[in-house]
Amino acid sequence: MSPIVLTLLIFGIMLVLMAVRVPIAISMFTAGAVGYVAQAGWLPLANFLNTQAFARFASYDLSVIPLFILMGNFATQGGISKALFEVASSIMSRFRGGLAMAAVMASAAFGAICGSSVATAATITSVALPEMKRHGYSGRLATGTLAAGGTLGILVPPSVPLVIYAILAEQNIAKLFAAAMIPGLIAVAGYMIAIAIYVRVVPGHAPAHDDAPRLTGRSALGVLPIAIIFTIVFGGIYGGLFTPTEGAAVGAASTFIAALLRGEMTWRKFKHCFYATAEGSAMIFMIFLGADLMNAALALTQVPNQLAAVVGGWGLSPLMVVGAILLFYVVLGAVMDELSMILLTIPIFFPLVMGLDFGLPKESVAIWFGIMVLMTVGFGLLAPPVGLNVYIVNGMARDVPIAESYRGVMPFLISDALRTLLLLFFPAISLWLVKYIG
Amino acid sequence: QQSVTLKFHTFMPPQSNVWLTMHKAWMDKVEKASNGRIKFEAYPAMQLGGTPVQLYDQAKDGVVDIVWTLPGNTAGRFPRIEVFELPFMMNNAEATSKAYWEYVQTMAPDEFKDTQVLALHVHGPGMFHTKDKLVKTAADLRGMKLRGPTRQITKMLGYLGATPVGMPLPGIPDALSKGTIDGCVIPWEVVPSVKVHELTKFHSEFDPAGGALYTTTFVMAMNKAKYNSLAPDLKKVIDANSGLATSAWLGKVQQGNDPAGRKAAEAVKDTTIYTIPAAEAQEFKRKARLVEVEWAEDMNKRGFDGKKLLEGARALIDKHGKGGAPARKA
Amino acid sequence: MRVLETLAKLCAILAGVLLTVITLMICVSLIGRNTVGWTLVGDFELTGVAAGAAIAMFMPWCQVRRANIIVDFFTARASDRTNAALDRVGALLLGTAMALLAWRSTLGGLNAWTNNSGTMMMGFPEWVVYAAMVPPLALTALIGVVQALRGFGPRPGE
Ligand code: NA
Ligand code: NA
Repeated sequence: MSPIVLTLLIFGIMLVLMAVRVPIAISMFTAGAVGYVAQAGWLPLANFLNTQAFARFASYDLSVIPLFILMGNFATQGGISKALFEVASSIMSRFRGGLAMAAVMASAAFGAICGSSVATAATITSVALPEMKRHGYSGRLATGTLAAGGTLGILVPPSVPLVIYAILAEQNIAKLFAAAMIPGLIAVAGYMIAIAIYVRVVPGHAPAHDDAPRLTGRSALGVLPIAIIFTIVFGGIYGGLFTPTEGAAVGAASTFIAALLRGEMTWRKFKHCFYATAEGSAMIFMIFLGADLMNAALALTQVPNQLAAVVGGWGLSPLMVVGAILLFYVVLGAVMDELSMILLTIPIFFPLVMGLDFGLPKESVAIWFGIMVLMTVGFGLLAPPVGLNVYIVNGMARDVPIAESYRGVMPFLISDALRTLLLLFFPAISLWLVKYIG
Repeated sequence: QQSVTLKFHTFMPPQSNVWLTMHKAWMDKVEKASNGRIKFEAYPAMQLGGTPVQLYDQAKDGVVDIVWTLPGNTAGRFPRIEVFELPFMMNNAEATSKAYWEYVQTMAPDEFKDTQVLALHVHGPGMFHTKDKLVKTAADLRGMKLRGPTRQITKMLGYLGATPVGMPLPGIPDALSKGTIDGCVIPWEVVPSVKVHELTKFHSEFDPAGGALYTTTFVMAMNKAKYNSLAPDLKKVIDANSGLATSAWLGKVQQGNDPAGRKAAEAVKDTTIYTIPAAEAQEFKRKARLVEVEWAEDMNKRGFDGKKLLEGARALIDKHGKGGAPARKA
Repeated sequence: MRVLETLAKLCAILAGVLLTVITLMICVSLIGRNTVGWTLVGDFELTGVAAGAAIAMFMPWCQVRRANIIVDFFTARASDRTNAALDRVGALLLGTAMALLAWRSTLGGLNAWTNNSGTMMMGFPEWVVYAAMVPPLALTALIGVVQALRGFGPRPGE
């Protein structure tokens, strides 16, 4: 069987299984296992599995994910994210679609201490979704906004995909975080504009007027816990007290302590935190496990390498090569989990990109490309048929059909596309802040 | 006529020196020597899955055919070879790699018994790279937060009065830029890949006459069944590209990458490169001796003769170091 | 199934407590490092292995709640009965995959035991982590199989 046919077969099995409601993780696991056995035989696969669960679960780099999810649950059960959303909605309620905008703001604020999109989406959804429904927002707009808002968890630093990229590409994570800062703000602005336009152009999805309570000094105190945690985490990271990975633990611990101090935590609520963390983390790591097998099987075909060689041989201009890679990522991101996509392709595409001449220093190219990859990751989290964030939010809004949620993210996908193009053609937007770091 | 394709798997990124000048070069040599009958599928950056810790088992179990990895990744699994990672053992990677090979053949033959070992080698002299303060004496280390590379050297940093910080290698640039650590100990060769020349001002090497601070051991191993399945003439090709000579070659090439790292540091403004004289190194050695003593005790507990192993390793390093002048700085 | 659910809850709580304790331990180590110069060298390794055990212990509850993501995009129009039947096949596949993983991880753990493998800095024994991972993986497998055989009741709450 030729490598290309085999690659298509692996993807084919995965897509068919996915289409008939086999869990995404197990679809990848099965397709990967079949592809692996076809190329290397059963025994190597069996031995590969001996250590695979340990390798993937007991990983220091990925341990930030359950910590971020735990932190999100402490924030929810401790009333911290509710208070945050209340402040945001009292500020935004004067605008049409104000509660949706408030959800975006709250996601961005939470994203500033949390590096996981799934954790951010789940945290803000748990407080914002009931409110938006109560105020008459449509399921489509509400779930679309919350899924898109969740991507701010990674678009606003700290950011797990950027950490993984930094490791694979041997780049400075502090510089990557700095480079993501302005694109993150652009994303927030872009989502606000998308909401403002949408509620005017497509009537019937948001009330003409939100009757959120006015901002008082007392309610403004609601942002205090997040502000303090933000100061501790970012002050600690940039003040050199701990690393970004350790920052995740510090963030989770301070959220835990803040929730305790607010006096809202009972043992019942703790148990609820742990159950919710179990669902959120196990689901992600189950996907990692499946993606590992997929990745190994795909790597064995050597097709990604050949693809890189083919793209390299086309004689395209450097910008067009990056454009082609990003397009490939968008397609791949639509059917794959994003972290696995980075793990599979960066070792292959990164050297290719670094070999091109953009008239920029090598390090700038590496950082800018990292931001571009991050943008496609955000895209992949929302794009059908496999948009992880959409599934998370939709899973919490069980009365909304999935197709409605996908319609709801369309305005935000357009905003994403425009932002990606902007950053592609103007690397300076990403690189501007970097020169003030280290 | 048999022709085979071997899967080579490692954690090194594809643009690293080690991958380009050592792994790729070795594979090219073998491919050429076999007239193309041995081919490689090369997988850097853990592309076939798993983590660096599991590479050795992947070769052992036949998940892949050949791996290159750090045996020190798993504490307690290859205890006897850790002798080469003790402080102030070596000053020349080529000689020490030969010694390491011979040591395993003669004094610890069952250490890597589950695989066909192709080469055993070490990197060039490890040294201090610090951000704000030059390390001239052992006392200068007091209170400094330093990232330790291996278990033994991290221990040593503590005995020298520093606050050792454990973190994976890719964490170094960020930690240095923000001051989470004040410095790290790595060889010159690794410096550019983690941007340490841009992030630290001070570099303290040891005068080779007194020995280098430390080194790290590496192993290149092949699946046994795969090796045994090779036709006799292909086996010969592998044999000709493994063993003492290949170990020495890998050590030499790796230390040969040191000068480029040193040059990169020299090119940065306000860089100070200091050589700690052999006399001052005595003070470092005195404080670091406890590491050696504890290692030997640990070996005794495991049923080996710690003292004999230590002396044996030293004698082999001496034996192979004779003749060739110790590698001097670039 | 009730017993399995209770076990799954227990696993999730244990894992949650473990993670919480680890975050607090890291904070202590960080405070020590930046004040008195005392630190738990290799605390990052403990985070890794604790997360490893916790993730595996989270899996049973995740499957009890059927929180592993499925794509319902293509079957949105199908009848509930068809979807429920498909979900049982999915649960069976998941159970099989987890059983395979539990079995192979047992071998991996035995290998770590005979080889004395430990983490790089602290030498924390790897077999301990495997030992913590295998039972919840097997439990997840069992839950998947039971779901496949007996169908799903209403999604269990807490
Ligand atoms: Na974030
Ligand atoms: Na996706």
